[in-house]
Amino acid sequence: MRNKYKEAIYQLMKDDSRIIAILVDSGTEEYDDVRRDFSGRIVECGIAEANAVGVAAGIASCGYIPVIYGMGAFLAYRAFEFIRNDVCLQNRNVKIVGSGGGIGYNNLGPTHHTTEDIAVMTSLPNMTVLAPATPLEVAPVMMAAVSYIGPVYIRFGKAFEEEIYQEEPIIEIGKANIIREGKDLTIIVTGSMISDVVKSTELLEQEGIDTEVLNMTTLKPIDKEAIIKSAAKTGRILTVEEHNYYGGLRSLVSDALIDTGRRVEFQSICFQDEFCMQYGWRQNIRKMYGISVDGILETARKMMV
Amino acid sequence: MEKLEEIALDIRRSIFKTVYHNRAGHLASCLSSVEILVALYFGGVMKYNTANPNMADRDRLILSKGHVALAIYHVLAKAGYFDAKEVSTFCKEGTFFGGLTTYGKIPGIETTTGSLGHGLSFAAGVAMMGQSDRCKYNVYTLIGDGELQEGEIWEAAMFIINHKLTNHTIIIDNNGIQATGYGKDIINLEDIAQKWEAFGFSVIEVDGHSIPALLESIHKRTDKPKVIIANTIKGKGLSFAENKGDWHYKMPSEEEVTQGLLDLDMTREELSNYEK
Repeated sequence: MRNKYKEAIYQLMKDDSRIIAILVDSGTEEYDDVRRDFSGRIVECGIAEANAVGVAAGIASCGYIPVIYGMGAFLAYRAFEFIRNDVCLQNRNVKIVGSGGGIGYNNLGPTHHTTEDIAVMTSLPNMTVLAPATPLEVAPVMMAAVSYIGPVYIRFGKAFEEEIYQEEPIIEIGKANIIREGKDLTIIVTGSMISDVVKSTELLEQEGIDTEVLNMTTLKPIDKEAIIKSAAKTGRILTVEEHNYYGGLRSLVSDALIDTGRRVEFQSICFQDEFCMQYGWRQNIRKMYGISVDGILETARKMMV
Repeated sequence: MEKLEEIALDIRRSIFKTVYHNRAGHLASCLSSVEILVALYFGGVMKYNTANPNMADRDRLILSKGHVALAIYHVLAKAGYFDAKEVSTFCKEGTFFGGLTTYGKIPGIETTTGSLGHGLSFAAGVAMMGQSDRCKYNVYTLIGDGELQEGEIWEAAMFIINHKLTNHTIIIDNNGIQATGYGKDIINLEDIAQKWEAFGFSVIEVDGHSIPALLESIHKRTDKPKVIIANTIKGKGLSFAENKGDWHYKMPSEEEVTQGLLDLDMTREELSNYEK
């Protein structure tokens, strides 16, 4: 995803002179081209994320569009009160790109993981929350974020995310993308878990389970209509995410179901109110917590009994 | 032209009156900042346009010390941003004039503050954009001395020095008292000037109740970003509240009101004549 981000941020800054890059000792390679051609529009804040968010809010108040790029854990958690008071409370046009969403920093451990960021970011009024699922979603997500006027948190990935598209998908804020249509079970997924979900659906198909897949690139505002429509069709919903049990996709989808009184069989795959304490390859860590193809297959089969 | 000291006295009376009638506000915190605000708005320092509050090249005052809300409302009213009687809705149901400053509905208020340590980072971003050739302006940030205990202040200080934001001036309302008592008894900051100098600022220390001294310090040119330490008295002008550790958020008793009228050279009638 980082390579795609490098292209995307360069193009956006080339096309719109109002965009100001805010860095927090971050963006080593991703900002190489921007550093070369738009050095006057980079504001380096150093290892001081809360200050960076305050500075960005001030910059936004002057009619510019600051895009902060840094590790999600340090932006969403450390700078939370600044995101709340200086950005969301005043509805400032600040974009926050938090890298390593979920357990993207697999070998750096729990301080660098963002397994509660959807919970805290969606809790803020005025905040829009997006999460690109694959490299080809990065450019349209960034375009959508910058075109939208208001605070946006982008739960960004890192590297090695698998592609599922042939070409760039159309991303509209607030709209789920239906990746696959099916009638037996709906899997609702966010972020790079999409590739495991797609693999699972192929295997489930061989077992005669026809799965529908909704990709939630927008977590807030969540596409209630798409959820309800699919729930009515299959009667079974399984959410899949690299996030803690509370406040993530599982909670957002169940809120949507409660709001509309729709009854379904509901299961979720996520961290079970725990910190991710394991190291290793991301795919291997996911397996240890059941957030994997095997975990999806097992739960899906149980739901079909 | 009305003398600046008279304007300051008038603002003090207005603050006292609003607190008396509305039973709300950080009375003592407001009173220590009065001369600073008067110098900025009426001493020919700040460039502003009340007919066009969002004028792109206006100078900005960022009230990191949001507790000064009631003082700034009266200053902005006096400057002509809105009618003074609007401030009589202070902290009443339906008002925009709250106990801490909130951005959005009140012309002249640049950002929402109240949670301490936020204003300086915001101001630094604003100052940075004010250094471009297309749009030049100055930024002033008012900080309370207790607020210096927030780590955020020092993150912002490093940023301001690193980016050489010489169009930005920090004014510290150094009244020595915070919410629960004297700062030195809570977290003693010792030598404040030395700390700012060590971070790379030019520091000027002045009597924060002397408007000529404040103006001189504001106009003084420095190569490095400037910090003005305005030594003030919390509760200044009201003898019963001056330099008292327990006056952060307190309402005057009837006895104190009588004393306040004497201190501010006001009559009962002037106090009662309150337009709503």
